[in-house]
Amino acid sequence: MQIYLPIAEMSVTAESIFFLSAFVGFLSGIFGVGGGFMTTPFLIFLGIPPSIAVGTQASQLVASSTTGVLGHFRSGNVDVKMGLVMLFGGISGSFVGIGIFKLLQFWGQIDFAVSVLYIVLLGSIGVLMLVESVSKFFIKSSPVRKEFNKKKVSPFVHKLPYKMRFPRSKLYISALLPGGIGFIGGVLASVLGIGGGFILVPAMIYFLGMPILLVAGTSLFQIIFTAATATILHATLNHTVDIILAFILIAGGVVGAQLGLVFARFVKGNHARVVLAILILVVCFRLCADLFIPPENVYSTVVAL
Amino acid sequence: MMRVVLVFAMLMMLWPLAAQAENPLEIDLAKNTVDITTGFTGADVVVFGVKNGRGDIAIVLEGPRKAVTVRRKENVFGAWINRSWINYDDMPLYYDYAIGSLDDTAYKKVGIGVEAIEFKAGKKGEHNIDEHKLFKSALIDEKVQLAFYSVTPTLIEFLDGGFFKVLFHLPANVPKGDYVMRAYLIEKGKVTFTAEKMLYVGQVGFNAKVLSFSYNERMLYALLCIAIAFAAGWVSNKLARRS
Repeated sequence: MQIYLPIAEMSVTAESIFFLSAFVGFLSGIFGVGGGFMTTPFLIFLGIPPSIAVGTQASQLVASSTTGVLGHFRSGNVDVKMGLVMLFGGISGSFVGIGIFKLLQFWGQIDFAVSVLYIVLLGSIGVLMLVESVSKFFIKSSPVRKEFNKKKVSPFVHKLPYKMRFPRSKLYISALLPGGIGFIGGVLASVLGIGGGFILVPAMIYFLGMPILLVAGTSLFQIIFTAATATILHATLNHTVDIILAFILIAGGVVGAQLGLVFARFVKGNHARVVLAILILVVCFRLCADLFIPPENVYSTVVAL
Repeated sequence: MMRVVLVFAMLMMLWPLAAQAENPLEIDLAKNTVDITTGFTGADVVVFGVKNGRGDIAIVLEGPRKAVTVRRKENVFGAWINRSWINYDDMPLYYDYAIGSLDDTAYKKVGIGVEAIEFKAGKKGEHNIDEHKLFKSALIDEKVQLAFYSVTPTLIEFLDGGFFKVLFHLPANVPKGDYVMRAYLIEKGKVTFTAEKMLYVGQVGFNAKVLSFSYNERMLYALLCIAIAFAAGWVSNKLARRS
């Protein structure tokens, strides 16, 4: 079914977008990842302009992280205070990100920047995940106690000013750290349309020393509001949030996530992670190919607004 | 049968034009708007006309004019990145035309046809004439590929008594804005008369409401998007809990 998007002002095939988002939702149901990092490149492959893809994806992020965080709230695995401090950084990061986005658009380098950032992010995450999950097949690790984080935090981290107490995480650290991590998340949300959970989660574990149990819920909690801020900024300043496209993406995501959750009962975590890692690397290779293989047409045109 | 009805309807429409017979060339549109709705997949624009004077005719449908930037990717350390660019001011975003005879070159001389569009290069990098030609032809190629420009004109169908009908097809992703339908009467290599009609291409109904709401109430629109997302996220969680 062809559907005309009112803001993007273009005609798209609704099914292809629905199936795409259902597929990503399916993955997020299985793996518990947001999946924004796959939707944006896929939308761009389908011919949606990068600016619309990123802006609209930000609103879809609100939906997927809301779903995720509710479960974590129910089990009490959200450090709200930590989340709020991160959010402070996240919102300022969104503003900076929008500025960067506009500047790149003006220079005509937004496509290039988005591809390169994705290649770097997906490439490193994919490789790390693959190495970790494959090695787990061979090395039986000792059971981890999720209540505590035994990772050694660098002494430099403890010298930073503005120390704050985070009772839920049992931490006494500088507010600059969670704020800084949130800031990076905010920039990623507005430039790439992703929640950046796969960056935030390791950063919270290794730099903040947060209990692993609280990390996922807390990062999702702040992603909701960071993504909401990015949506508002994209809609008001760039005018790149298409509500119809968002609706299809969200609907597909909801349906896909349900299927994914059902399916998740039958798959082993580690096998699933290998598949996800390979999938991430495939997207990464595809983006690399677009960048390095000589294009058929080196010219592109843009109509001024 | 359809054809007879169409011709009859056309004759009725053009009756006043023919009756006046003052102008050597008259045109009218079957409909002076193209409505883009949610299910829009393209549209036909039908122009009727009557030629009373002597000479040859051409009809041009020209889209709104905007500045267009053409960029070229160049190889930088193995990666293909946008490097050189030229801005063209005041470019028609759509251009299609129909002619009365097979000889295309005569029309080009009087400024009709894609080849005759004036490319006003505005700000640009350092480019010589040859480079400029490459950018120009790349722009035309892209527009032709999108079916926004037509390099092969339609042949005008003449009916009895100088009446004619031309059909232009607009693709699904046609640029929005004010279009001009212009008819030219050409005699001995000179344009002796022109007639024009305006055509508006834009979103209507639900789509138009969404678009104007998103511009006029930006904050409310953004909050609505977020509210939908929140609600969907919440529903999704409820569904997951039940199963």
